[in-house]
Amino acid sequence: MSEENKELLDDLSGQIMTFTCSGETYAFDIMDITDIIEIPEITKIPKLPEFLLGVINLRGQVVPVMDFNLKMGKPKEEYDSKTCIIVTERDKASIGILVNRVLDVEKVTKKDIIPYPKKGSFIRGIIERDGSRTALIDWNELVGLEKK
Amino acid sequence: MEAMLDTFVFETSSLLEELDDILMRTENDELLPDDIAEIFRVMHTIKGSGAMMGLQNMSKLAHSVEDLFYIIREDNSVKYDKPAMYELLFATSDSLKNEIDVIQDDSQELTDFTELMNKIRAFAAVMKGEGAPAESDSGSSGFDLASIFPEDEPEEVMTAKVTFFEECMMPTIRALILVRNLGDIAEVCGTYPPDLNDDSSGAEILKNGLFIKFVTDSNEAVLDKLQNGIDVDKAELVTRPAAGASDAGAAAAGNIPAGVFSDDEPEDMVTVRVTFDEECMMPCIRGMILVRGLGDIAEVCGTYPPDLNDDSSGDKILKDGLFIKLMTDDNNAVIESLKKGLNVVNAELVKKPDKNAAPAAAPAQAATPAAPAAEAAKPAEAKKAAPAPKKPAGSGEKTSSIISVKLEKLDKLLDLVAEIVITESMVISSPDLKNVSGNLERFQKSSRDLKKLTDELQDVVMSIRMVPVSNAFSKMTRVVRDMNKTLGKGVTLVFEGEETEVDKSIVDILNDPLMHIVRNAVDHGIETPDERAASGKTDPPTVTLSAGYDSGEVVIACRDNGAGMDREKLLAKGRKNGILTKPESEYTDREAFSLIMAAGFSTNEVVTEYSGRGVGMDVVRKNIESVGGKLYVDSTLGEGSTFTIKIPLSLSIIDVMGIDVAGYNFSVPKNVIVELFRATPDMLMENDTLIMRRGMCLPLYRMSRVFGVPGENKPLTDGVILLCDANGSKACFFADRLIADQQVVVKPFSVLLSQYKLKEQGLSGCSVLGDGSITTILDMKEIIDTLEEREGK
Repeated sequence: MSEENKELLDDLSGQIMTFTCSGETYAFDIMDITDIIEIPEITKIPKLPEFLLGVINLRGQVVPVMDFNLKMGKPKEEYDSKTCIIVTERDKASIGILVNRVLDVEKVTKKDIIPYPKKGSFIRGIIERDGSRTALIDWNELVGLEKK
Repeated sequence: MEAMLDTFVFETSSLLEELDDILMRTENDELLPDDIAEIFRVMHTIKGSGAMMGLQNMSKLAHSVEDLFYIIREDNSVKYDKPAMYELLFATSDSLKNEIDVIQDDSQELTDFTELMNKIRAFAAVMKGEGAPAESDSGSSGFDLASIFPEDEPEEVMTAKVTFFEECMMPTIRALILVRNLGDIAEVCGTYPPDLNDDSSGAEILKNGLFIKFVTDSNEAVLDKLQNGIDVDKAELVTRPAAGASDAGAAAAGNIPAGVFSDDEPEDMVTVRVTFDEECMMPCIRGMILVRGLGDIAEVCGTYPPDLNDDSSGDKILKDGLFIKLMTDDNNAVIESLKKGLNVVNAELVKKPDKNAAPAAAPAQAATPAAPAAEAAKPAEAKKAAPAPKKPAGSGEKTSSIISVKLEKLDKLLDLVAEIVITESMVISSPDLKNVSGNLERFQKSSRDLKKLTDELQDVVMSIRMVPVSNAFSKMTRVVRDMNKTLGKGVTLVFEGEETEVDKSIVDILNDPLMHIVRNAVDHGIETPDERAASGKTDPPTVTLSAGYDSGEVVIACRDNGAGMDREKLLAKGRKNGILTKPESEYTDREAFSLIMAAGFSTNEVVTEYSGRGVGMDVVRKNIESVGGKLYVDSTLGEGSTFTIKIPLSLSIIDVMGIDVAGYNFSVPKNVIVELFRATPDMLMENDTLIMRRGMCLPLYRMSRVFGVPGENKPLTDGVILLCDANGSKACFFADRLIADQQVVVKPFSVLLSQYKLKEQGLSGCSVLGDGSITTILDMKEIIDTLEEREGK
């Protein structure tokens, strides 16, 4: 692993939460997650890209919600009882990410992660285990905020 | 530094308001000793804090006024021209207020108050001249050596003093020749007196000598050359009168007062002497700032003089320097940090004089610092008792029942409380409760208690932000006073209900509109004394400002007992300017009077300093409307006019009309909605793009199309039409149905959404409603502007 990539993954907490979307497995670093909730009523807001579904009321806070499927360019899937919203917070701004199904919390170490070669992608790295692949999401890139 | 500036601005502003109050009160009354002392105190404080902030111009201006009042305070019988003095004082107050704005704006240079200062000094000199003639003589001819040393002079600039023989003719020419001769060996930066071509400089040179500032490699050569000039008596190098950098070293041992060093001092304790320049104001404060600034790099054990809060320490510091005892790892860093301090001339380490050498040095200064010797015991004791870092400034243990809080914090608190109130109603009226079969009695009781408490909390938080409206009113006394001076109308300003409390932000908004309205009332409303006499009015010309509450609104009124407005004249003028929108006979009185608030309308034939340019009232109206307020005009010809401002009590909560557009929940601020109605087929024109209503033909838009949401085909006669008026642009919007008439707290969109330029497209924010659902607040002005722009293309 190159020095640069080591640095990139330095802030990993060692635990990830995996979820599925269109048959593939993705993961968030558990430190990025503040909440996992069922889908409440989503208030639509006009003039937003399709993947931004609108806003929800999370304990009095207005939180925007994005559909992970649509964000990844996949077709929309019907919501069911397993569908939920993962809430993350950065710089005091929360965002909810709607995913089909949360799978598990797993332990990882840095050496489990194969760095992803493409710059500017949502994916920080790939974890290969027992023949299945999990893509670790870069929160900042996903949300599309300017990195400070 | 930023925080210090804030405090300075806040304190100085309140001091100046205090000053204005006193001046207004005493202008036509006797100036009592208490008032004199108060003005003196205000100026003294501004002088001090101004100097501390490095604002020499403000500090010096305040100083000159302080001097003036010193004379009055010391000798109450002194005679002076009171009106002239008040003009100067008001001018000072205005200049200082103005400067407060300037210092908050980085792009502006500090103002030079020299002219005003000279006027004040001249005034003080005249006063002194009458009171004590002998003093004024010595005062005017005094020559201050320090004045030829600017504070920012580089170290390498040398100053030579050349004295000419008394019988020397044309000293200015001699001086010019000398300066020119120096050209080969030195670079001359300037002279004092500065203008050698000016004849009056000659006398000055003969009296005080000629000072030449230069940079050179060889001081001796320059002095030699000067010495050999014609008629030159003597040429010598002079230095800044304060304990300068060059000779400080030599003088150091001799000047250290007894008591700086004690016998039982630890060896690793070092002593630093800081010398300030002579002009330095409030050396004690400077000292404290320096000591505090050292906190990071050194442990300060004590200072000499020991008590920096004591005023007498200031003189000692100026004379012998400030001694700071400290322990540090890095002597150089300490010295560097001290040297950077304001007004600091030099900072150097001083060594404890040898026991044997001390007696030798002592006699040299034993005569002068007798007092320090007496205090010598103190620092020694203090050092023994407190080896830990000792902060000499920490003695301000005054308790006060008032604190000042940043407005942002209160805003945050208000936001939170609004959230709590909404969350509370969500909990109490939660739909889940319907499914609970058991007895809810205790829950109901607790929720009633909770509601009572949150209501109270909300009231308290709102009240914290409340300030009496007199803050805004009292500024008007000044406006009326100034206008009385120029217009000679002798108007009396009366306040009613000035103790009425309103939100701080409202008072800030009120300032400008009130100023305009009051000016108008005095300038246009009140007649000249002759006119009043002609119309048989005997009551004194009066402008009344009143304040009060009326159903959730603050009502501020400005009433005058002047000429009132002539309905016909207004309509005629309106016709001339082409701003009438309907036949004259249809205008109600109120509508006719409201014409003066239309843009480009002024009935006063003569434009004066105060009003009549035809901007003014429409700007006032717009300002008030921008915060959801309203402005009304009433008038009776011959009896006077009343301007009434109504502003909602709180600005953070707005009244909105909730509408449903194809499943989207939007809220339109009620202050832009003119009316709501259902369309009938005969109103619609031009493929449903125009609508006739009340004799107006207005553009009609489907709300759904404006935001590009589905819901295209619903017949226009089926829903509701909103007639909106945003700053004069009118348009109609079609929505599916009305949801509710409600109050909301507007929250801006989170950054994640605002990056899609929602605000630019007429969406100003969201709000959580009482039932937990979310609504999007529309900015109708933005929407109408965008639509008009698009149609234009």
